[in-house]
Amino acid sequence: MRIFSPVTLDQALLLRSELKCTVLSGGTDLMLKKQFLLSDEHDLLMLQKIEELHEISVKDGITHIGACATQTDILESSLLWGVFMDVVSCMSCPSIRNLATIGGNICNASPAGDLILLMSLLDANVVVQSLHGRKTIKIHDFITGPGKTVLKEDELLTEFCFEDSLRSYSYFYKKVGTRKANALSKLSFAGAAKYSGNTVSDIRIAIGAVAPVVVRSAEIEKLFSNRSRQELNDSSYSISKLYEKYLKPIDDQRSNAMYRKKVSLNLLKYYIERVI
Amino acid sequence: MSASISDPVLRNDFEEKISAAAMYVDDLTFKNMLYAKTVRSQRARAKIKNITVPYLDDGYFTVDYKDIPASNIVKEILDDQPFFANGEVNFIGEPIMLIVGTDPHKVAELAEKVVIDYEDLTPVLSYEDSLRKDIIPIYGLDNCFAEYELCRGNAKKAFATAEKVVERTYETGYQEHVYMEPQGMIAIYENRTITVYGSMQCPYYIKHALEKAFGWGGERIRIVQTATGGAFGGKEEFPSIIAGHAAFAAFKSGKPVKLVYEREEDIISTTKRHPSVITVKTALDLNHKITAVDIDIKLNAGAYAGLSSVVLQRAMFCSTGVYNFENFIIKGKAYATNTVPTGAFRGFGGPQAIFAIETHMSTLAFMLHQDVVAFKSIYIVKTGDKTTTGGTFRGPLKLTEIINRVKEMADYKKLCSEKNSEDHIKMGVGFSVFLHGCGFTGSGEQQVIKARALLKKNHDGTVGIFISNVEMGQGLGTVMRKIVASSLGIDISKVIYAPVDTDKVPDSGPTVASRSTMIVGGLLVRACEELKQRWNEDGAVAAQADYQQPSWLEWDNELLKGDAYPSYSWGADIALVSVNTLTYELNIEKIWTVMDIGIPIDTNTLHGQIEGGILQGVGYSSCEVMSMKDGKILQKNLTDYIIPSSKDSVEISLDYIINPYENGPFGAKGAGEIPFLGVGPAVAGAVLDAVKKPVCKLPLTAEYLMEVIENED
Amino acid sequence: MKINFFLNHIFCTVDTDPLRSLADVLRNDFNQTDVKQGCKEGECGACAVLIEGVTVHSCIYPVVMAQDKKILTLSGILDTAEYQAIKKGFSDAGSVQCGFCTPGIVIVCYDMFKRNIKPSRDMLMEHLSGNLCRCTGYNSIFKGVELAFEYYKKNMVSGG
Repeated sequence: MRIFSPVTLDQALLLRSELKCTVLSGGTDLMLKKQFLLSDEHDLLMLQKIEELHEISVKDGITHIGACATQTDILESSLLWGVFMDVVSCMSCPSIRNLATIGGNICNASPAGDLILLMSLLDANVVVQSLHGRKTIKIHDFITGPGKTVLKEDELLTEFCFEDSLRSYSYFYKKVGTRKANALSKLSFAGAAKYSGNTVSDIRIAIGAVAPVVVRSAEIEKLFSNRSRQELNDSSYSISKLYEKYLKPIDDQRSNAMYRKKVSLNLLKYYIERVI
Repeated sequence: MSASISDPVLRNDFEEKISAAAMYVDDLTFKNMLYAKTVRSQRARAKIKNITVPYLDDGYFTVDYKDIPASNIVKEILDDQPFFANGEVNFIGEPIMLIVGTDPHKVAELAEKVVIDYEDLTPVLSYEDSLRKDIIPIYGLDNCFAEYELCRGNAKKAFATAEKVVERTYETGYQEHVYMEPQGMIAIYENRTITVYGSMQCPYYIKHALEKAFGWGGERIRIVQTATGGAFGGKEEFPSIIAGHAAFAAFKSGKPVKLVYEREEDIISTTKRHPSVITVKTALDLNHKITAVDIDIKLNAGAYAGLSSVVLQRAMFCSTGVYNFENFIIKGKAYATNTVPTGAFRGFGGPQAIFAIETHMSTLAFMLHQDVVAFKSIYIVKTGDKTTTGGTFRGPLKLTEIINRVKEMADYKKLCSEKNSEDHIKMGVGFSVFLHGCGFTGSGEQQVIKARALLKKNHDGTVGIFISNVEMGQGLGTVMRKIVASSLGIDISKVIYAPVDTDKVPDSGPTVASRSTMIVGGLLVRACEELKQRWNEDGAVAAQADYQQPSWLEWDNELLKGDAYPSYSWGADIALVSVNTLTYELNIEKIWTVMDIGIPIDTNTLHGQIEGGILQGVGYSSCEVMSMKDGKILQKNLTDYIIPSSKDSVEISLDYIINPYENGPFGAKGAGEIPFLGVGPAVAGAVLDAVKKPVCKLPLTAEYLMEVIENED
Repeated sequence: MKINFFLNHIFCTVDTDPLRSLADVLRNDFNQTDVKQGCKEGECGACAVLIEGVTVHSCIYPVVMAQDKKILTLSGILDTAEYQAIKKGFSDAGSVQCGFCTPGIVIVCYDMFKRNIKPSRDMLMEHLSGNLCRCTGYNSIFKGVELAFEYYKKNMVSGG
């Protein structure tokens, strides 16, 4: 296995197109699964030296987060807003956050991925680059199942973008973990709402770790946008019924399906009745 | 003298630990040292048909039961556990052989490549399984390692004439010690002697186990304790196995062999706390007074007996808690299953029993609409009352003072009336009162251990303490040095706690059962008396003291009658919790605790034991989930087996009362285990108060609380 | 692969599998026994070290990422004002029991002091959330760090 540590993105893309390689971003996940993810037939491509992949910026109303931005970078960035702090501060612990990257979290594609939930809530675009050019893929289309993404072997995930105007929304986030810190999600719930007077002009709901991918339904959200708070409150039962069929949680060593389903719906009802 | 002894002093090992100079076993290397890795059973129960070992280069070899010179039996109580499986395996993780060689990574790779052909046998995976006649028993004819019964009065009659009978069943789960330093040993064979260095609580247990395994006299086995990174009972009996493995490899190769467990391996294969199912039945008369109690205890001992009979005894002996019931029947059984053998863990059967009785009493108070403290106080033992085994609670007992003090600290009345349940956050207050017998259960101290402590005064006026009790974080070195310094009236800087090396220290017994301060500290006080009289003799002076059972202590080990323990420590906890009815998450907000441990020999040390013990109890009550499926542990690393992090720490308000025990050094009793005992039931009682529904299982996971809260019954 | 780095201010070179954990390399190739290993899965924090002044769990840090970096372990900070203050605070508060988690905790606290992060109880609970301790229940560690920070600040003020 050879190790490559390019300093520019172009170099990295070239290597990615010519070689079979495993990408090393923060390494926190890779190091735990070395025997499954590595083989002598693959080379290792390290992205640490590519500065543009670490950048967080806002341009023309679009926020860009580089794939190698660490959780600490995100937590400390003045360009991001409250819900980012809420989500990242519930992830792992400071020492791991210093290494773990947003790109790694998304490419790992765990159903419990905390940043996947957030990107999903923000309708983020995933920017994927290769020698052939640049593609923008919606986050919902990028992750197809547990551990599965559409990223091809000659491609690199380079950044996430979403509208900076989303900072004006009101957010609610609750992660239910196995303990208060450094815990994997049993389930997680995020809601975002934009108000126009007493009307909720846009409502977004994302639920994590209760299905193979993040549960987010534009159809249901459309049905209930542009309603007054009271209308929404009155519809909380029917909204929860609509979401129920998307919830397909499992039993595992952390929790069970019944709990995950019940609590998701409790949080959903609470969000609609009390938070909005 | 007693007042000033409690004032805290700096630990003797602080300097080396804060600067990371302390050497734990994995920090040590020896010339030509080899590394060993254990090959373990993947089956809960099977015959081994064939073992295929991969090609081994020069310098790499295997070690199995055939390499044990005399006896492939780990010396314990029933002598049923082998060092290495011989033809059959009885739990997932059971050691079958070692691969040993020069490169630890290669050794680990080779161990993975060993192929074992099994012939599966029907495993016993539950209590119900253990009773089935169509499954070959693991042990004896009926999978019963130990079974006992205790009675007083006429419980049968009381139940027959009761106005009301309340019966509930309580369950507690596995608990893993998670000492931060995994188990490890290094063995060396040199000059016809085996020396084992390692992380341990009981060097002489290991020494005797190896004497038996090798068939050698004691002069050929030397055990040396290295800095031990936590133990909590997990390094009490288990280390004999890992030490044996390393020793057999060292003997075979003539080279030093290091055997240190990976965390996952440690979790899967070393001892755990006994899961329990305890049914408590209480008979109530017309006035709602408890007239009789019937307690049935079942402990899952795993595949081998280990110390289960003693754990069961302790659970039974304290199963009526701090209460004096006129009539009772207590039955207990430790049964075998094809799962990892369970063993010693802080409390040793006490936590399970105290959880059951205390939660039951809290539930009765709830059902009878009485204040839980007032209700429990009706039945509390007084000085002179009889224990469950017909011994005597010699006192004075100060339970009323303890309870009043903890209520005062918590401002109990205000706490109960002002706890504010809002919206989806329900607050609750719980109360527990509990005891822990200090010292070895029964007659072990006199008949088995026969402790001896040794002091040596050197030419320069320093005094060395030579005992086999170990420092494992609890502050033993500090406590023993203070006892000797105060007894002799010399400065503590002149007292040295000698490294624990069986070539140099006598057998003062194991570091278990909250016995070290009380029993061994007591021996040191006596040795000091002799040393004081001989202080001015020329040259070096040695003084020793041997254990003498107090004349008033009588114990019949056959009938389980008499004083099971020479003394008891006592405690009371109040817990404030909140339950989130959206997520069913439990948050333990604050715990108040008051203890009677005689007198503290060092307040910093005592605080450390109380706070540490309580947080382990918090973990046991809430987040520490270990489940088994088909004999396989599902939470086998620290990602999945969750212990409290700093964010899960709990505000603790603690106090202790002074109640000197006349046979304890300066009045001290045992303090290491008691802080753990009251947390489970105090938290369960608080949850009951918060959600107005009884709970009867630990840990109180959100999943379980959801069932309780959403259950219509 | 050859990897160069500064270990406690000393230039070092190792030729090894680039994906070996830094903890493994430091302990076994450089005899840095002040880096403890409690889990090898990044959960317990006993292996915490500073890389370019940032706290990292070295058991899940591939050594190849240490190329050209400055690494500090506990023995590299023994003569600092931060360490001396932490030592005094821990001594007064009884923050050390078995000592196995201690080196990792000292590293995290050193990092906090260097960043002038005042250790309020909430801050401490957050910053130490990656360091597991089984002995103390954490309260005496919190007290120790709070005391240590006071000593540290006093020391800075008095120019000591």
